[in-house]
Amino acid sequence: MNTLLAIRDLHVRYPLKTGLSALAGNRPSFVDVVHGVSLDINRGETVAIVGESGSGKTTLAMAVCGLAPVFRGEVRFDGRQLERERNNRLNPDRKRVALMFQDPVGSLSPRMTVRKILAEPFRIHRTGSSSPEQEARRLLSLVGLSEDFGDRYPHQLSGGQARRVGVARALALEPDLLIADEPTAGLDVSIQGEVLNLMSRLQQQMGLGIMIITHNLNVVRHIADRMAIMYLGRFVEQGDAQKIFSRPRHPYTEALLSANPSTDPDAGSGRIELSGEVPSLLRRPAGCEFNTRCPRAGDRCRVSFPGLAGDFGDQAYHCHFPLD
Amino acid sequence: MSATAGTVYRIFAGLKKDPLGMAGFVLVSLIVFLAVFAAWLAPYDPLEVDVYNRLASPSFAHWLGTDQLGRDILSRVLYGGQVALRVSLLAISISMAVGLVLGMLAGFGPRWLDRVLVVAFDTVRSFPTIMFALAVVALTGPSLNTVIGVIIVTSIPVYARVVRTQTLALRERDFILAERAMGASTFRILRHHVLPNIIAPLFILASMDVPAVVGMEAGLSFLGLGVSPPTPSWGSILNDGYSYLRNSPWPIIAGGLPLIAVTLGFTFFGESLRDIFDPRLRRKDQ
Repeated sequence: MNTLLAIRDLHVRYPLKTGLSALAGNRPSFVDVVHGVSLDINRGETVAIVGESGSGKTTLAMAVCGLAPVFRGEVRFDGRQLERERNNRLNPDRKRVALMFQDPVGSLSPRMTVRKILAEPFRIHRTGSSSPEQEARRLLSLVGLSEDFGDRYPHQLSGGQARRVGVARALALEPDLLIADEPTAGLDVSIQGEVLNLMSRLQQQMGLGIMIITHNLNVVRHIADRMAIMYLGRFVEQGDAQKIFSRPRHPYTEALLSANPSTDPDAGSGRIELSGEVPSLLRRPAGCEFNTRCPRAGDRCRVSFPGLAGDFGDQAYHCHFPLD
Repeated sequence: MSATAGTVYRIFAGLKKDPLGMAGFVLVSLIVFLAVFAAWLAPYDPLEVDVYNRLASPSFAHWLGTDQLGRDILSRVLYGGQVALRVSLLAISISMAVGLVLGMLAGFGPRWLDRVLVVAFDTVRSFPTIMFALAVVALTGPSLNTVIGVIIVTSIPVYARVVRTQTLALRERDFILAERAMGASTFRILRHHVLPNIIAPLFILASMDVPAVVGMEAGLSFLGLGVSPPTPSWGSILNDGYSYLRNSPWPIIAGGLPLIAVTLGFTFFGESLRDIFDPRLRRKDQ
C-alpha cells in the first residue's frame, strides 16, 4: 500500500493558564483535545472521521495542517515528518495538503472577489503554468461554476456555490491529500450530493487521498473506504467502513450507528440511548474514557485503558468487552 | 477601482437617507473649501494691522469686526482654518498609520509583544494631554510642529487599540486560518486579509477624531503653546478675544463658531458613515 499520511500517537495540547497562574489553583493547566490518535491514509482513498461535536475531529485536521499545537506524536507525509511551524512557504509538503473549512462562506476572505480568492494559492506559492487569474478561471470551470462568479464577493454566493469555490481553492495547487471538515454541513441534500460527487470525481481524476470529517453517517456510507470513530480525542474504533457499519465492535460505535435514522420505515428505531453527558475534556475519566456512559462497562474499564484489539489495517478497537 | 466607486456610491446613497449626516457632509465640505481657498476668499491680509479701527463691531467692511490690533477677524478665521485642518490632516494621518501598524502587530504577533505594546499604549494614555504638552513645550518651545507631535503621540494608542481589537477578532476567523493553512506569510495575511477588513471603521474613527484634534490645537494655541503670535489660529483668536472680552464680544464669537461647526460637521458625518458601513452599531432609538 502506498501510504500518504501517517499519524502516530498524536496529542494536541492547549494551555489553559499561562505564567504564574499555572502554579495556582486545582484546575488543570492544559487540555488534551486530541489524545493519542494513529491513522493511515493511502493515496486515492477516502477516510471518514466520525464523532460528536467536541470530540476533537476539527482539531485533528488543524494539527495535520500545522494550525494546532502538536504536543506529542508525529505526522508523516510521504514518509517525511511535516514541519511543525505554521507558515512555511518553502516547505514543499505544505502545499500538498489542502484543508477545506467547515463554514463555506466564512473561510473565504470577505473583501476579495472569488477570482482573487482562487488566485491566492498561486500568488502565495508563486507557481502555476499561467497567470494566477487564468488559473483562477480554470479552477472555476473545474468545479462547474461559470466565469461570471469570478467577480462576486463571498457574501453574494449561496452555501453550495461557496462550497464549490472552497473545493476549487483546496485543489488549486494539486494537493495529494484533501482534508474536508464537514463539507456537507448546512447544505441542502441535493447540493450535498453534488458536492460529494464533485469531490469523488476530482479524487478519481487526481488520485487524491481524502480525509473527510463529518457527523453525517449517510455521507460516510456513501463515500468512505475506511472510517474512524472519535470520542473525547481518541479513536475508539477504526477500520474498513463497510465492516464497521455491518459489525461494530465498540459499544460507542454501535450507539452512534443506531442513532442514524434509517430510510427503511420497517426497520424500527432500534436506537441505543446512552445515559449521561459527554465528560469534560478537563476531567478525562480514568481507564476507558467511555466507561461513564457505556452499557457494558465493568470494573476493569474504570481502571485501565484498553489496548488496541483487532487488526490496525482492517478493523481495530479499544475495548475490554467488545461486541461480537 | 470599481470597489472604490461602489463605496463612494454607497456613502452618497446612505447620506441621502440621513439628513443630519448630509448636513454634516455639507458643513465639512464648506469648512474644507473655505480653509483651502482662504487666500482668495479672505478680504484682507490677516496680519494687516489697522490701529484706527481696533475692536470694531461687524460692518460691511469687516464682516466679523476687528481685533485689538484692528486686524480683520474674518480673514484671521479663514486662515486659522488652514492651520486647524493642516494640523488635523497631518496628525491624524500619521497617528493612524503608526497606530495601524502597531495595532496589527499587537493583535497578530506573539503574546509577549501584545503585552508590551498594550502597556506602552496605556502608559501614553495615562498622561494628561495638557501636562504632556506643557512638558514638551518647556523642552522645545512653542511651535506648530510641537502641537502636531503631541497630538500624534497621544492619538497613536487610540488608533492602535481599535486596530488591535479588530485584528484579534479576525485572527481566529476561518478565512485567516485558511490562508495560514495554505502557507501565506504573516505580512501577506495582514496586508491582504486583515487590513481591508479593519480599514473602514478606522476612517470613521478618524472622521470623528477631527473635532478633538482641532479642539486640541485651539486649546494649546489658546494657552500659548501652539502657533506663535502673529499667525492666526482659532485658539489664538479666542485668546486675544478673551483679553478684550469687556470691549468686544465679537472675537470670541468668531473664534468659537468655527470650532462648533467643525465639531458638529465631522461628528454628524462620522456617525452617518458608521451607520452606513455598520448598521449593527446604529443607535437603538432610531
